Amino acid sequence: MRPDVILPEDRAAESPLSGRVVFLVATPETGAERLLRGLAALPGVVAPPVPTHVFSQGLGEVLDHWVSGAEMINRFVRRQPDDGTLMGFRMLSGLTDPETFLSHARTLGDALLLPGFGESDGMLVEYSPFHINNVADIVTLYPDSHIVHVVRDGRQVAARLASPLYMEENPGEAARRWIDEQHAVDEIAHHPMLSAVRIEGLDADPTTALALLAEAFGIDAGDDDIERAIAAMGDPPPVVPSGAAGAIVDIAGADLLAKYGYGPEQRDTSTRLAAWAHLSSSAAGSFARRIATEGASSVVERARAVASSVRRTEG
Amino acid sequence: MTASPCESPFADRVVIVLAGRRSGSTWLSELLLSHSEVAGVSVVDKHGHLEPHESAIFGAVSDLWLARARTDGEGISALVGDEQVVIEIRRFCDRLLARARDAVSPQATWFVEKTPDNVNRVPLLAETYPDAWYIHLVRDGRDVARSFAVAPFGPDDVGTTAAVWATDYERVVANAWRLPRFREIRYESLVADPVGAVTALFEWVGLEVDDALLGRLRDRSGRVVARFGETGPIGEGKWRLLSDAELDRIYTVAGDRLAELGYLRQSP
Repeated sequence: MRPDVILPEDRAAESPLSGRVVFLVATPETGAERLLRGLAALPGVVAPPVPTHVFSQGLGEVLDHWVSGAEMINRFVRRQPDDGTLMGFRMLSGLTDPETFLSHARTLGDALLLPGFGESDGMLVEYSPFHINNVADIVTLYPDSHIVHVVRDGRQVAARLASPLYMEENPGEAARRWIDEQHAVDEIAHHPMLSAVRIEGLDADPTTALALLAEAFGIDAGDDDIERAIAAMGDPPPVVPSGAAGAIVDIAGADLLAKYGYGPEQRDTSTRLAAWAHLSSSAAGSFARRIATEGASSVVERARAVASSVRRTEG
Repeated sequence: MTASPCESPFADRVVIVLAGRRSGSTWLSELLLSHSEVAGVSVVDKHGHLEPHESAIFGAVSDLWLARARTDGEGISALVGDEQVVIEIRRFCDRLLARARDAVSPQATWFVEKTPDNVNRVPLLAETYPDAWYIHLVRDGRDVARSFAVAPFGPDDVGTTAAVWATDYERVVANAWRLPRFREIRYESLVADPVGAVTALFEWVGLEVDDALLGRLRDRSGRVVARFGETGPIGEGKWRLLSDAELDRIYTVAGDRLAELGYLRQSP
């Protein structure tokens, strides 16, 4: 479990990377790579040639070893000693105080990321597919960095995740991944350096969107720079039939679709019923449990709307 | 190759105890901490003694170390290179160990680390701390299985705990070739002559032993540590308290290792 404090502001300010890193966080198939290419084309901005996974396969685990959480203690400790001492696992918290630990972890992170800047004294933009699940780790260690949550209609994302390109994903898992990963960002909803970019909005008006992002990052970008960035992004992918995965997102991710301004989608009755059947059949799974406990009201509301729509269609 | 991968305040001065749970690593570490030049991850127990604790530091950096070997070309190594990842891990660990040292024994120039999970991290240790001194502490698997099973953590079945013991042992032995400074000692010989055994270890790593240290060692060697769930006197051979059925379960999963290590020859 990570420390319950974040890197102090004055320590972050001492970092050679202070305010110079932008973490794009997104579920795969959202279009974050395209935004990454666009931003990297702006003056003074560099991007690593590949995903670094620096949090999802590195710093996240370092932070997680600060102290064992109740979950781990409950898993391994069957009973507490009867001599009055409480058994836990101090882990790295046995070595130093949390601020010093975070300072050293930041030094480690900076040493790993700094070569990515090359000769640039500007910004580094990074995107790794699993970093969306590490947003709280990123804020803990890089509170001075920009975090851009890239959002796309979850029905499209889930449909692509459920495609043969991602062999391990069935429609239900694809939908769950999109829903869970968007909810992961809720943990840092009030972080002042967090912003959200709807990929559909970016594609509709890339000039304005990129200019706003450049301004937010403190990048002096002229019209030619923005044009180059738009060209670097390339064309958006075609819209695909969202199918079973999209239908599940429609039901289980209704709150998120509404939050990010995605309207209802026309869908045939059999697909809707199949989606409900899938959710019913996974009733024993954590996905259904989470829906039941966290999103019950929105699911019920959505279900009523779908049922009403089905009745209208059949009538 | 015993050179530290980078400049280090602990170059040639880290001792890492490799031993699974309930193998006596806490006791051995406490004896090593008798030396004024040696520090460790310690807390003051209710009797005012420094008690060695587990840092899990190498588990913390394990993901990062593994990431340097991705075969898909992705990962942090694409920015910094494999060797630099190892160097940065070493620097990070050194800094944290130095903080721990400064908190309890700022005069110390050596550090002892004893996290049981280190038995699973030998390849990582070999790359990041090739200059360290590794002590593989081996204890009769029957005693380990029994002690582990009665402890308030981990499995409570001796068959399972015996399997853990065997796996821990095998992981160290399989990777011992990576460690230029490696020595194996038996818990039973440590119990029989703690002062002599630890003095030999100090001499092996090059630490001076004087009369004052010997006195501290004698004092500490009788001190009880980490006796979770135990009520009897400290020592080896408590496996004799196990039932025949429990011993059968142990021999089923770990009999070959026990025989290989000679423990079965000593049985009545």
